[in-house]
Amino acid sequence: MLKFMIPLVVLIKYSKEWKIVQVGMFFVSFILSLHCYHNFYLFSVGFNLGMDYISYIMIMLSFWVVSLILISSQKVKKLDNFNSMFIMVNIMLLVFLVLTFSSMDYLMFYISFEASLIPTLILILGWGYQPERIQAGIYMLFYTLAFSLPLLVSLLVYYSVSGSLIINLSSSLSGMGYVSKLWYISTVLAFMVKLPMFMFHLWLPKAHVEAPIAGSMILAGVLLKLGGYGLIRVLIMFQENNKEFCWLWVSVSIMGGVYISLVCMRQVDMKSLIAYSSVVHMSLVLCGIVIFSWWGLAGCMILMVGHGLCSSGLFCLANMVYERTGSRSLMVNKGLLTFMPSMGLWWFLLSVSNMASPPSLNLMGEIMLILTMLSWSKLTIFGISLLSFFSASYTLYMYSLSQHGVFYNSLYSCCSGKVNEYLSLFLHWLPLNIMILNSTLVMI
Amino acid sequence: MTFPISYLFFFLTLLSGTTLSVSSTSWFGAWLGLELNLLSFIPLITTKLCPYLTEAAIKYFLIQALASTILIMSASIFLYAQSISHVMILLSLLLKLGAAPFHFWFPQVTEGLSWPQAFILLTIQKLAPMFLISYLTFSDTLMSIIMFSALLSSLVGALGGLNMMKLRKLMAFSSINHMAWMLVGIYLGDIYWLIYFTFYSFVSGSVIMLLYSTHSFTVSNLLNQSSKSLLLNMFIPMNILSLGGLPPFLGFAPKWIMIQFLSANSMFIPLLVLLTSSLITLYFYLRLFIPLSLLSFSFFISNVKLTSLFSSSYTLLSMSFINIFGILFPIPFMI
Repeated sequence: MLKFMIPLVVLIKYSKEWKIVQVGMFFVSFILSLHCYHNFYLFSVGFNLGMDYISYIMIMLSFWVVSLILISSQKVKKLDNFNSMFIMVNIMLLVFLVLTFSSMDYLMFYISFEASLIPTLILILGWGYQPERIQAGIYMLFYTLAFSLPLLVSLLVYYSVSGSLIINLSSSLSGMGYVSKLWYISTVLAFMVKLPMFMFHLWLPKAHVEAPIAGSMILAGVLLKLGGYGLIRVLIMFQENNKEFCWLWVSVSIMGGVYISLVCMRQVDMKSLIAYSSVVHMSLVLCGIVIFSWWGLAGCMILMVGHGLCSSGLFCLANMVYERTGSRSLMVNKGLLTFMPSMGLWWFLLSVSNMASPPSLNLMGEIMLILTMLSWSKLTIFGISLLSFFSASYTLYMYSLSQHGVFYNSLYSCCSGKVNEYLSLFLHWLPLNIMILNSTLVMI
Repeated sequence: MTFPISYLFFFLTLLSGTTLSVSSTSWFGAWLGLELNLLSFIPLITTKLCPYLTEAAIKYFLIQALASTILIMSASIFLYAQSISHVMILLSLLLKLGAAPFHFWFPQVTEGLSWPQAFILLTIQKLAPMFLISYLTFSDTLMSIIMFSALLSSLVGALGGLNMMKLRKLMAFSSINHMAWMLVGIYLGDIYWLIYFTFYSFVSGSVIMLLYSTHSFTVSNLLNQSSKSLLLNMFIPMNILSLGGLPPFLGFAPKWIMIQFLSANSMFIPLLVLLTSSLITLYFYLRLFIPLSLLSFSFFISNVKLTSLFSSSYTLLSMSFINIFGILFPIPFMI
């Protein structure tokens, strides 16, 4: 793993040179992507770090998203808004994410999981737009921290019970009644907040709305996936308990998904709409994880990658509009098709990917997850059908309200899109729709 | 130089007082050491003729003298009423320490000191009473008093610091909160509170050095620095978060050790209180963190030209560095 970490640390040294860092990031992503065909269960092992298939996919996703962040946040560079510190914070965040995904030890995982919170907080506070970002930042920090301290305690208890915190050596705990249920809840809730599950999602729209584009992209692209990844890792310990609680998570997240997708249709803020839509997608991911089936796990990995690319691309689009019109409101940003006609294609492509159209990864992931849930219980079909219907309709709502109609009168002229922006969107869209050709890459 | 050179003598007697009381075999010797310690801290406080310093010195003297009186009195009735005597000794030591039910003097005295003296008060002055308390862990009554005081000080330290705009008071309350962890450490065993104390001294020392070098006594002082450097703006918030014990920083390490041993002894209720209160303390550390990390320094720049110690001092930089990235070093080498 050091061969990916050291270049990152070296890139911090060049944080004054935006171009070098950007090229360097893509280069490291390229080197990492060369590892996609490997035959071993664990590879790049050393220093308590190592990748298996799930880690590899997540690390690849985080490298890719951070590289795309550097393309999409050119505004920071243009305004000279502390750009070297911006790069430093982003790379630190990436380092912590890579550590989180590649650590083979629960405690190391926990520490870097928490550590990734601080660069995110600095991103939101430092480069956000409104004064409300302070509230959103604190909200996010305390929401996640308050639920993750019990996780630390439960990991240390696990250490004293089983004698090891190595993830690959972890074994299922036999039931101990009451205590183990408390233990289980305190462990998984940290990740459910991060995911976020319905009812624990309140920090997410706030954080997304106040975060700068880089913060939103990394939040939607990678940080939410930390929750899913963590659940995959810790549920090994709690197989018996999870069987008893499975119904709760599945029903809460399916009904919550339906409810949140209705909430989505009432949003006028583009960013918060996209943020709520990621809650909906993540609820499907959660169902796939807790059901404990092979297809569920594979589908959840695929949907996480698909959603990471797709929603980060949508945030990119929302930010491009925001940079031009100075507003994220759907009431102001109407008729963008007359404004930025060629950007309309990208709005269309990313929107349909968000509503799980072929050939996007989202489609494949959702098919697998829906099959998983159906095989678990036939009753879920009501929830699922409502959920996928409404998730298509809110995306349609967002697309049609922003692209169609008469444009806002006080807008006079703007650039309809730069090569750099098209590049960023293309690099979001391409893996999202090409990878289905060889989907074993993102399956496990 | 933070002190006039002539005060080195008092500093040495202060340390020897601590050593004397820690290593003495009788309560009388312990009392003697504590008195020596107290009487040599008073001149260290009053380095200048200034009403604040004098007030702090008087308050400190009165409280400590009261505690010493109780200590020597209850030590002398030891053979006469054994159980009461131990409880009284413990309470007097808690008063000396400024632990929770007896904490009221602590922020006020700290408020009157300047940063180097405050550092001595927050760390070295705690050493002797802490050691003496750790000798008093042989009966259930004493243990439960220690635990009660620990839990109360964790709550007091967390809630008391919430509305503070003055940095020294804030450090005092954070010290009360950290003292709670140390008292729980005494409950568990000697090594735990010693480890915690070492880490706490280091972390708070690094924060205090930063605050001292920027001459800041209130939150607004911190914001109105004329010499805004990027390094300063990154280091101060990170150091403060480290004091709060957020995971990737050094301040997390002692908490981690304590949480591990608390959970191994299945003391979950105290752990719950400690963790909740440390979350609350994190909130008031964040209030220092946020204005510095908002990256908008342009307003309120005062014209006071400070001699910034920051750019030159390597010890400061290296201490902050260890404070931020310390957890990456092998921990056994740090203790």
